[in-house]
Amino acid sequence: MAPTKSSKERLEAENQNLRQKLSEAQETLSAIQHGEVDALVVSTPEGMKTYTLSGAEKPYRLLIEEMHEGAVMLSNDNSIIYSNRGFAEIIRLPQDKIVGSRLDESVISTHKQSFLELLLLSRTTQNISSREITFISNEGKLIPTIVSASCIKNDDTTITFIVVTDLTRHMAEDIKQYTVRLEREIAERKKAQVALLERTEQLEQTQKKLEENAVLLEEYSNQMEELAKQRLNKLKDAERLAAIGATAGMVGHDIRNPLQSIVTELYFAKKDLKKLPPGSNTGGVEENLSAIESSVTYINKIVQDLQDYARPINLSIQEINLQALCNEVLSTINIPPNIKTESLIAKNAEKVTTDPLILKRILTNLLNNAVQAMPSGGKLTFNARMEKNQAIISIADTGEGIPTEIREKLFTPLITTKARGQGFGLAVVKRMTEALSGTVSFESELGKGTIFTIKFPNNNSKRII
Amino acid sequence: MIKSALIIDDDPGVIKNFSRLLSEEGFDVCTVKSGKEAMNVQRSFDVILVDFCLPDINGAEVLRKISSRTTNSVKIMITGLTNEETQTKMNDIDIDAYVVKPISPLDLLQLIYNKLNIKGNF
Repeated sequence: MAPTKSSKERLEAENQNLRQKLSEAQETLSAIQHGEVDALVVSTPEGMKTYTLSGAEKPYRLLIEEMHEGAVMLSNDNSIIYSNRGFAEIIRLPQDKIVGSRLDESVISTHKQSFLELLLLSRTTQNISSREITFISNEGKLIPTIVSASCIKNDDTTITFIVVTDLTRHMAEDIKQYTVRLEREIAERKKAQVALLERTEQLEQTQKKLEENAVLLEEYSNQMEELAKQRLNKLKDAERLAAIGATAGMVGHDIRNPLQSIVTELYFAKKDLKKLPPGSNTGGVEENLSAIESSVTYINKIVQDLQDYARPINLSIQEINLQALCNEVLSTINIPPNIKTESLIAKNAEKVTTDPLILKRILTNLLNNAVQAMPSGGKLTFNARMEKNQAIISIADTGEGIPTEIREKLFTPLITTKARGQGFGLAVVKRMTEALSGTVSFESELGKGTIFTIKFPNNNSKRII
Repeated sequence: MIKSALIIDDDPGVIKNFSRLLSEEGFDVCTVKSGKEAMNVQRSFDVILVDFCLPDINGAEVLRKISSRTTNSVKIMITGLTNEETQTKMNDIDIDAYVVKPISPLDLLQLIYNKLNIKGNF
């Protein structure tokens, strides 16, 4: 049977349709070959089917699967179609248990409203929106995240794609860095603290030292003050001495010359007197001359004292027999008959190391003073002994005693206590006793008398005063 | 034989007295009042009394300047000073004795005669 026109037309139409499909297939194939197609959606009797090309899909799948962020696909009713490993880790559930559950059920109640709004927003605007949403993990732990949602519409189905960024992970990183920083800072602070402690300790030590120094300084300052006082006094003494020294020089030259003349004139006068015939009336001239002579002797003594006082004392220390020296001095003193002398020289007062000439001058001055203190007679007691390697010599008179008002200045030169002054005698005694490293003191009672006592050590060192 | 004496002193009283003292003892006495004058005296003496404190140069200097003429003289220094410094100076000077004013005239004469004897001049 020959084909009918209608069947021919039908075949041609069918052919046309097949050509059309072949062309489409070729186009698709070419697109696939050029990497322009990742998936094919094919109409089947069961509906549309999507065929993805594994070569193209793999990188994307890997990317999604392996990324740190959680990736979730939601269906319209918010049930989970797909979850990557990242989200499973965030929520602490195996991937297969996540699929099929509702994502909003894992959101904390206070954020649920916000989460649903986000989903709604992404579905209506088809824009990518994000919000901070806190999930509750399977272990009940709160996990703050940022949730980004986007919506893909495909005919009657809508797929919502969710990216969950775990803030705790970021925070953990931040905390880690912060902790490192903190630890570093703590270490530095500890170091600083140790340094501070050391510094504090040093400071304390310094302060302690300073305090000690301050005490020392104060002591030193006090010592210096004391020393300055002593120096000042010495200087005053020295000034006084210098003034006296200058005077002494002047006196030495200017008084000794006229004294020499007087002495010689006296000699001539006496000589002339002798030339007179025996029995001549000399009218008491001889007595006058004797009086002048004794006055000259006295003037000479004052000059001598003055020069003694002013001159430097160079000690000539030697071992002497104190007993012998005392007896020798006593024998040179002119003691009037109305003065009784008692001499008590201890037997142990023998060997003493001192300057004999100076000691003689001291004793001579004191003995002369004692004699002069008793113009109408009395008793002179001389006492010498050794005590603890120290010589003690006292000279007592039974004279009038020293007036109270001048006792304080008794050893100061140029203090005159009598009509006939003894200006320098005691000052010389004091100066010379001190030169022997000794002391001079006195006790006096008005109307009863005075005791002068000198004490000086066995002195083996030479000093220049 | 008459002994000669030179007195060097700036005090007129002392010059007058010592001059009389020695003249009465038979000395031929010459007096001068300063070191310069002493240097101008071009002769030697048996005895020279010299004051340490003179207006121009001191007694020790004077003796040194006229030493060529005083080898055999008895040289006595007379001083008003007694301090040790002066005493030390005296030790360094070529003198026969030194005395401190005021010295008793008898002591001075005795000293002079003693020194003249020692030197064999008397």
